[in-house]
Amino acid sequence: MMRRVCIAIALTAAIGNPVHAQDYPSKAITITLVLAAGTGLDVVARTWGEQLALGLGKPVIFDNRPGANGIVAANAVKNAAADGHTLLVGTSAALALNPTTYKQLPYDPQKDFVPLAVYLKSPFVLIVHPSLPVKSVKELAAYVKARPGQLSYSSTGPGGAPRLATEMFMQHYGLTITHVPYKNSPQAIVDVAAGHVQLGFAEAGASRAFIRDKRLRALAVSSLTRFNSLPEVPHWPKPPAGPNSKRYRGMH
Amino acid sequence: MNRLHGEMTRILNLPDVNKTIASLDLIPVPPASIESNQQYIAAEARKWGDLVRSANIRPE
Repeated sequence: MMRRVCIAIALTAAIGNPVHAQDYPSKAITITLVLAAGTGLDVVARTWGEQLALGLGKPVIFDNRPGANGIVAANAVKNAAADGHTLLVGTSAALALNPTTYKQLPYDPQKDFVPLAVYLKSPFVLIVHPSLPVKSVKELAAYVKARPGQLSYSSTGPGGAPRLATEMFMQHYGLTITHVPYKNSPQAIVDVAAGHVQLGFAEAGASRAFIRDKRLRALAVSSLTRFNSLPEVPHWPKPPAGPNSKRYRGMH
Repeated sequence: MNRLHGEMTRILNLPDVNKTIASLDLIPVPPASIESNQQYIAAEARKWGDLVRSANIRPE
């Protein structure tokens, strides 16, 4: 299960009046993203966005609107004219998890949007501050178990994979770690390196430099395959058997 | 919708796009039909809903 914790990225369009194929597109396409500019996921979107502009013969404009777990961006696209010229790039938090996390949402992912493409998965790596004397997930679990409530972990928000992955880690091993939420992924990573929190799950791209410089130690990746840039970091170990062990099917 | 879907399917199969994705340690997902995408997202919501509820994950 932990071997498949990734966030999925999807391109969606607001459901609205059908547009005649020959009239489409009639103007520039705006792609609104729940992601911040400059992140790896944003770079990928701009890569295919370029191709889309070529294919459709109209400019493609990017509008980054990170915030509130994707609610800001999703709302903007829902409220724009639903003529196929405003699209949303969302993450699993925005499109699959928010309905469970939030009591009230201004949009309904299933009713308001059509998923044109689910095209990317972003896997995570478990990072710890290098002062922790642990070299594996199991050692970390033992270390944390001996110090209930003394350690804290960073996350990027309630529906994000870091929070989910850490909760799963805690449930598998029966651990108590204090949760410290951050606004975004870079901040969540920097504070582990600074030692303000001791561990967290991070995106590979954003944490790579820290791991190379040994400002962070990487214990395991959450994907089925190792990362190209971190080939020495192993997969997640099988969860321990026992009353706390739960089987969650992977997010991918 | 179909035009967009068709374009995205074509683009996501381009080797350059996939090269960029791999270089960032991200994992490409093979393009699928809109219906398949809808089912996937609904399945994700169900699978992770349990964890969100059991861990009492709430907005901050």
